[in-house]
Amino acid sequence: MIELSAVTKVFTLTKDQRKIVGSSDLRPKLFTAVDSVTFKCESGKVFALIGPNGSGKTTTLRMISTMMRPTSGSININGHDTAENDRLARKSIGFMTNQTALYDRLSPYEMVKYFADLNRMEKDIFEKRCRDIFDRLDMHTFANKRIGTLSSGMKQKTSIARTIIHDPDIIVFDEPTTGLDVMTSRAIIELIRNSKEEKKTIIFSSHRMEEVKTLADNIGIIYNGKMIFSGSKDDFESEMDSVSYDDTLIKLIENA
Amino acid sequence: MNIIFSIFKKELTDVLRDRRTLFFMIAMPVIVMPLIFIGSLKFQEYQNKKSEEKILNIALVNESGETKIRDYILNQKGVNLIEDIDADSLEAGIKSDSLQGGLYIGKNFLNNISTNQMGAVEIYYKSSDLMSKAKKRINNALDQYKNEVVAGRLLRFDIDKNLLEPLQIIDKDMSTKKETIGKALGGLVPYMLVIFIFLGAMYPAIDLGAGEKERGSLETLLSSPATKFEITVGKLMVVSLTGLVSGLISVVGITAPMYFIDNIPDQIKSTVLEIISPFMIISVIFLMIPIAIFFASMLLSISFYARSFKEAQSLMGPLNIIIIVPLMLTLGPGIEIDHITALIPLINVGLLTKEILAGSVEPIYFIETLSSLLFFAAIGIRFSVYWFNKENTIFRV
Repeated sequence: MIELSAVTKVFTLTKDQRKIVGSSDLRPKLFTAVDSVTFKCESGKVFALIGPNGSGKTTTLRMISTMMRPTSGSININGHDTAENDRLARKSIGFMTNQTALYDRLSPYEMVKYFADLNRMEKDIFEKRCRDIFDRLDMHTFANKRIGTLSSGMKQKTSIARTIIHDPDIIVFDEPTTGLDVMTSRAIIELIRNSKEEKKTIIFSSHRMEEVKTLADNIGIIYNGKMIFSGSKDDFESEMDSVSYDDTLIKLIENA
Repeated sequence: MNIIFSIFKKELTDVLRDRRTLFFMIAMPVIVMPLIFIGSLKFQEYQNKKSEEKILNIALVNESGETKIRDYILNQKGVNLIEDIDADSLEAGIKSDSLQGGLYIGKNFLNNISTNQMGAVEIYYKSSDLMSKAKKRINNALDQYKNEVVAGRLLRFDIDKNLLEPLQIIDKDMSTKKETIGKALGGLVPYMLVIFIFLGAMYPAIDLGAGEKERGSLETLLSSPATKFEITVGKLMVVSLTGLVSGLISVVGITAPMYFIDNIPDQIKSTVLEIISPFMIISVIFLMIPIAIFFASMLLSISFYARSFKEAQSLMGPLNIIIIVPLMLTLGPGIEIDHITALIPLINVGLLTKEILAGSVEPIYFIETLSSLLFFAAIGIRFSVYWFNKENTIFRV
């Protein structure tokens, strides 16, 4: 389970960053990327975090994954406050983005083994789980080839195996299908579905409303760092004037 | 500790499969060092031989009727004497490079010499022509002539030639061959060592910092149970090791030519092999370890800061100059290791290595230098960890 309570993230902007966000020198050098965000993701449920570019989705997911620390507020991962014990919290997390984020000079087996070692998995448990995952994803034929020589589909499978090797209770996906082809996207969507069946807690950010419609149980809309909507898919659909999820998202943002 | 070892093991495997790293870590010092050594020796030898054997056009304008100088010039090796020439043509010939040297003997020369006065001669040459030995060959001929004239005059006045040499100076050079060659090599060795440690550490540092950012793998690594401290230390160990190995291989590169170059004089060869003793190697390794850690921490910090591989490369470029300048200072005369210079990083390495190679190192300076380097290495590690902990560095856009 993931629980965010009044989480805020304020960045001190560098000169370059001020130019990017369009801030002049006269304005304050602080930028609130996430502003007092509160929501909960339960196990066995899929939470979709949506919003336009630069709204604070990635920062929120990075704080959940403990890569970043909140300026204020608290994040609780499976009963562990990330401010107090981020290592324990991270042991329950698998993190994935649309980039495969792999090491080209390692083999898929070495890649997966590396993350198992970082999670301090016992050798026997690792070998068994690795075999199961490689069976399920049909990875045995390329398990010992260099990642740099693999096709994008094979790389994506390796990335999935790396994410779930330590059997995390929580899986965080940051725009997992952005820029990917249909076949590769499907593998990730399947992973989300399977993880849900395994009663894992899943949070993903996305721009694809079709994915949200298909996968999400709960939806959070973040805009300018603020959570402007948080509720179940039914709650979201009750806000709909038309059949389009896109139109509803735009309406909610415009009313914010 | 297990996690640091896992990171170290993975990064080392990854780095050792990178051809670029292998080139800078192994191939460069193994190939470049002997090439520099053998190449410079061979080139110098070739140039000396070429300039010695070169036939030079030397003109003689003799208005005095003196004949002995002509004979002495003709006795010099590699001289093509041109005599049917006037003073104006001599100058023009030198300027146009058709002549490499010339000698003008005026009308009164022979008269002055025979009346025990000074006879003036003019030597024409171009000092800008570094390869030309014309002046040297003319001087040799004139020296022989001068000795003959002086001997004749002393004989005529019945003077013992020892009257002109009141001092008998006997050189007692107390330097051993090892000291002389050690101090001479001492300038080059730390220079090469430091450069190769730097180059050997540079590419792995870029790959493990900015490269990870570019691939997007840093985010997944940060979401693993490894702490930022463990990640930094694991990476630092690998970058330091590659720098250290590169430095060690450069020592092999310096030593190896001694075994397979024939035309190094035996005395120099045996002295150099005596210098490269187990003591020297162990002492230099002790110095190299903290230097490698210090460089690794600086390079990794820059790499963490850079947005991309390319940016990291351009940020590291100026560092080359920063490390070379202190080492160049140690090549100058008058700068010696003392309690102050032993504390200044890189300068202390340059000076102490000279002493180690010469076999005259004082333990106190070794301890001071090592302490100073370890201190800076510790600061480097601390800085890297601090830098990697900064979200603005890691997630810089």
